[in-house]
Amino acid sequence: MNIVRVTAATTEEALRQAIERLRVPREALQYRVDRSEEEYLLDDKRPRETTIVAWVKPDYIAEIVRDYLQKLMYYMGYIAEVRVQPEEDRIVAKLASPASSVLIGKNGQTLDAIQYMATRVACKGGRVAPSVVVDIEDYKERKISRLERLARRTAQKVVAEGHEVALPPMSAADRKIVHTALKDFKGVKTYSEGREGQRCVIVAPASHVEETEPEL
Amino acid sequence: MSEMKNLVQFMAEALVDHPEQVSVNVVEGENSVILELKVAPDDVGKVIGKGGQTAKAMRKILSAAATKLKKKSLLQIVE
Repeated sequence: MNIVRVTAATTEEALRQAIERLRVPREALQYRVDRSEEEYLLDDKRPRETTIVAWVKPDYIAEIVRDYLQKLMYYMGYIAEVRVQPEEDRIVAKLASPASSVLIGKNGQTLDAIQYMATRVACKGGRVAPSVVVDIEDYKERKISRLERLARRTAQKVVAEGHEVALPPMSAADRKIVHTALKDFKGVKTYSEGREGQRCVIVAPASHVEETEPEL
Repeated sequence: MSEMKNLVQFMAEALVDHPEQVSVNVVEGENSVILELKVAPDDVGKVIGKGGQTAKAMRKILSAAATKLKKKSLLQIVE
């Protein structure tokens, strides 16, 4: 959760508590008064209180991520342009580099590692930060559509030929893309098989699965 | 080899609470280079990560950076 709601005797005190919970400096905080002391006073005879809603400025975390990625590229020894855009509930960092293939790595593993490190740095010291997505030249976007195409092509083959097909081993995130892509595809059923690292999606004719289901 | 040392140093310093206690010792072999990372005792968990995930990510990044070199770079966390 990136938003906290704090009730205290004064706005100052509520802010102090919000800073403690979000673990960021005062200047990184944005807030609005949800209920002022005056409103509480009008309400009833409750003690003086105020409620604020506070969150970390997206720009603050975005700047930390940008700075980290720029330095990381420098220390890795690659020229790269780093653009970081704070979005509503996440921070998207886009890299462009002549060495993009090295930075993406086999099956996107290096890119995943870079994203993992950027996420660790964003929420360092228990700081409450939105999730960080790192992409290089739209690799991730292209990967999703490539996986979806592979899923549909495989499903068509399974329907036409009537026997199951195993896709190559994939990460959990990639398998999920395939499962989701074929969720509503008529005539096929998907499941995963194998140990992590070798785990792959099986696309099977839907009737096969139904046959083995116990009768009620 | 100092590039790889600096990379490991940078990645570790960005994660820990005591960056001044981060040190990297380089052990050069014939075909490989071992980078021994040492951090403050209460920072060890931060450079290893849950299930070794952070160490794994650092190794991945290190090997991507080392492709230009002829030698293999190995990261070791010493306690």
